[in-house]
Amino acid sequence: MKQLFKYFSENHIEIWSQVLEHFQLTLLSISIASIIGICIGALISSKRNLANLFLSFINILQTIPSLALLGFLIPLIGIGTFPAVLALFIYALLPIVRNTYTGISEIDSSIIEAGKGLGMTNFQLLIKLELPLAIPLILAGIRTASVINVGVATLCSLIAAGGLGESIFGGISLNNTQMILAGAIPASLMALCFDGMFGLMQKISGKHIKLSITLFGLLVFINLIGFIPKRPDSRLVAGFNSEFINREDGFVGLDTLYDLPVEIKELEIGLLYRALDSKKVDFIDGFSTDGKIEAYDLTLLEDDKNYFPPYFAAPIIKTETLRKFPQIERAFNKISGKINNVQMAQMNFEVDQNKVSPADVAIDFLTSLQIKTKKIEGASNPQIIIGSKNFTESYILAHIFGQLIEAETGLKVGLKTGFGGTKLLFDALDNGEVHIYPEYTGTGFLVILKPEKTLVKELLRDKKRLNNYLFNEFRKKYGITWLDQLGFNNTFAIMMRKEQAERLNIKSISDLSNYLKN
Amino acid sequence: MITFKNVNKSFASHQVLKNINFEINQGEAFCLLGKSGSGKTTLLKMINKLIYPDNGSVFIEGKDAKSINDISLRRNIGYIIQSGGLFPHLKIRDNIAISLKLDGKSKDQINHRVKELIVQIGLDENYLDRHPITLSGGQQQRIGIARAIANNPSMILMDEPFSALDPILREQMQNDFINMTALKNTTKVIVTHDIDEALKLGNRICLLENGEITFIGTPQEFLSSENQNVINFLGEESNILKIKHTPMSQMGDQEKLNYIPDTYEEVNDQTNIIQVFNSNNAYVKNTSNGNFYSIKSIKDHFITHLGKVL
Repeated sequence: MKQLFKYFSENHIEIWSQVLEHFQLTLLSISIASIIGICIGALISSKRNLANLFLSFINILQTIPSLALLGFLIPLIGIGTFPAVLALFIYALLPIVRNTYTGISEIDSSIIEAGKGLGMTNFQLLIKLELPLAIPLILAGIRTASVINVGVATLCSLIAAGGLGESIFGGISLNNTQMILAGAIPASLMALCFDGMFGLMQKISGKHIKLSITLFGLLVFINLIGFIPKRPDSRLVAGFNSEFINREDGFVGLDTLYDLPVEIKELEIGLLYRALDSKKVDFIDGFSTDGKIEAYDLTLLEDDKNYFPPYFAAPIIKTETLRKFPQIERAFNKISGKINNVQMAQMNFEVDQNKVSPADVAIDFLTSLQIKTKKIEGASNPQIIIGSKNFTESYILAHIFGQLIEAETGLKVGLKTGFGGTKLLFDALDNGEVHIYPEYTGTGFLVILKPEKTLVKELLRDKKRLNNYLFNEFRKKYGITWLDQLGFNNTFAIMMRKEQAERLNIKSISDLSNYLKN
Repeated sequence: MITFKNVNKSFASHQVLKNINFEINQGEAFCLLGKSGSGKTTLLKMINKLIYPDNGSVFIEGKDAKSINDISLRRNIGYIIQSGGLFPHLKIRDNIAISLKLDGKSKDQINHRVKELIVQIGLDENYLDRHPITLSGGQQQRIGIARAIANNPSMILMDEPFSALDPILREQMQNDFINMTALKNTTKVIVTHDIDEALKLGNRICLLENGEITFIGTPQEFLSSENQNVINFLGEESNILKIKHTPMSQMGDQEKLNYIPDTYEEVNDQTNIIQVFNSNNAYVKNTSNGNFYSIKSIKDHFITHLGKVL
C-alpha cells in the first residue's frame, strides 16, 4: 500500500496525463458513437427488416476481439489516436443503436398514432415524440457503451494512443505491481464515474430531458476542446512496445548510451512489424531471431557499442517438478545447444511468413534430431504443463518442449500458451499453474530478479558470473531451475525497413543517432 | 361534409370494407357503430388519411382527399383516441398546445388558448403544469379532447373515446361532451361499439357489419327499425337485458305508468310497446306510430316507481 502511494506521488504527472488521454479517448468515441448510433437507431426503427439485418451486422463487429480489430485497422488507417477512437467507436455502436431502436419501437403505438393524427411529419414525430420518449433507454445504452469502452481503451495504448493501458501493460511486462495498479485503479474509477454520470442523466431524463441533453452536449464540447492532436517532433518515428520503453535495459539505457532524440509511439509487440511495414513508424525494437525480419524485408541495426545484454533461451522448471520427473532433464539434454540464431530465425520465419503451425515446425525440428514426435493432443489431466509468452518464438519453443517431453518421457503434456507478459507467465510458473516455459537469461536477470544497478553493470560484462548468479538466485528465491541453454541468443535489436535504411545510409544505432541529431 | 364513394379496403386477403357509400353532414355527430372487426376504425382513419382506400374516394368538403396533403389535412381534423394518447414526457400545457405550436402560433396566443381550453373541458389552470401520468383516466381523456380541438378544427374524429373509462365516469363524460358548446358546429365522427353511447351522442348512427353498412339513421330510427341487422345487433349485444314485445292492452294501468312515465299521454291501449333495457337506460318504442320514447334511466325508474335499487 505504501509503495503504491509512493508510486502515485512519484509519477502523478504521467498518470494524470494518462487519465486525461484515457478519458478523452473514451468520451470522444462515445460522443461520436452516440450521435451516429442514435441516427442509425432512428433510421432503422421505421424499417423492421433492415433493423434486424443491421443489428446482426454490428453484432458481428462487436464480437471481433478488440486487439484483432486494432491490428486490422493498422494497415488501413495507421496507429495513434484516430484508429483507437475508431475501434472504440465500433464497440460503442451496438449498445447505443440497439437501445435507440428498442426505445423507439417500444413506444406505445397509440402515442405515435395520436402524433400522426395531430398532423406531425415523420421528422416531427422523431424529434418531438420518439427520441424524447426513448431517451432513458438511449442513455442506458450510452452508459453500457461507456463502461465497456473504458475497459477497451486500455488496449489502445498498444497502438500508440496512450491512456492508462500504458501503465497497465508496462507494469505487466516489467513485473511491477504498483505500476499495474496505477493504471488499473484510475481505470476502474473512471468506469464507475461514467456509470454514475450516465446513470444520473438517465434518472433525471424522465423529467428534465433538455437538461440532460444539454449536460451531455456540454461534456462532449469540453472534451473536443481538450482534444489537441499531438504532432510528431522528430524526423523519424519509433514504435516500441511498452516493455522495451520502460525497461532499464531497453530504451532507457539505449538512449543514455547512444542519444536518440526521437518521438516514440507505444505499440503492442505483435503490431510493431505491421506498423513498420505500413510506414506508420520508421524503426522498431525487435528480437534478433525474429522471423519477421526476413518476412518484412527489414535491416537489423548493428549494436556497435555492445549495449544489449545477452538473451540466451533456456527452459526453466520448478525444481520440485524436476525432482518428481528427473527424466525431463535427460530429455532436454537432447536439444541443449542445438538451436543457433539462424535456425531459430528460420523457424520463426516458417511460422510468421509461410504460415506453418508452430506444432509442425516443432515436429520438423525434432525430426531433424532423429526424435520421433507428434502434435500434442492436450490430455485432460496433463502431468506437465508447458507455458509460452505471446510471440512466435515462445510458441514454437513451447511446442518443441512439449513434444520432446512426450516423446522422450511418455508424460502427458498440456500447453498454456500466449501469456501476455513475463510477469504473468512467471507468476503462473511460481504458482504451479505452469511447470516449464522457455525464458531468456537477460529477462530472468533484469526483469524477474531486478538486481541493483551496480550489480547489473558488473555482471553484464561477465557471462559466466551472470549465469551463476542467475541460476543460484532462482534456485534460492523461487525454487526454479534453469536447464541447459538452447544455444541461440535472442537479444533486443533495433530494426528499420531495408529500403529506408539504405536510402538514409543507416547501418548501426550510432548512424541512427547521428541522423536523428542532425 | 364528408363523402365516401365506393370505398373498398383489404388487409392481406381479408376485405375489411366493401363498397362503402355514405355522407356525413356539416356539424352533425355521426356514430360509426359496430362490433370489433366490423371495419369502423378503418373507416374513421380514412378520413384523416391514416389509412388509404384501395379504391373509391373520400371527399372532404367536396375535395378528393387524395389531392389534399396528408399533413395539412390532419392539422385540420381533431383526432381523439381511446386511451387519450397523451404524450407522457410533456406537461399538460404542452400537450394541449402541440397543434398550436405546429401551426406556429405565438407564445401569447398559445398561452391564452390553453387557458381557455382547460376551463372549457372542466378543469382548472393548476393542471397545466402537471404531467399526464398524474391525472386520472377521465381527466386525461378531457385533455385529449382539448388537444384535439385546440386549433378549432372543422371536424373531430373520435375512436372509442370513452370506452376505457369506468361506467359512471363514462356517463358523465358523455353528458359533458354533449353539452360542450365549443363543439356545437364541429362535425363529429365517433367510433363506438356501445349502443348506449351511439344512441346518446349520435345525431345519426351508422351500423357496420363485416365491412358493410347495414343501417344509417337517427337513434329513433335505429331503435324502431325493422331492419333484421339492427334487431340482431340489439339482441346479440350482451348488455341488453331484455327486448320484450308487449301489447299495451295487456298491461295494467300501474304497469303502464312504470314503464313509460314521461310519455303516458301519447300512448293508448292500441299501442304496441317494445321495451329495450340495459344496465343504464331503457328505451320504449311505439310500434304503431314509430315514435320513440326514452326513460331517463332504469335506475331512476326503479327508484322512482318501484322503490328499490337494482
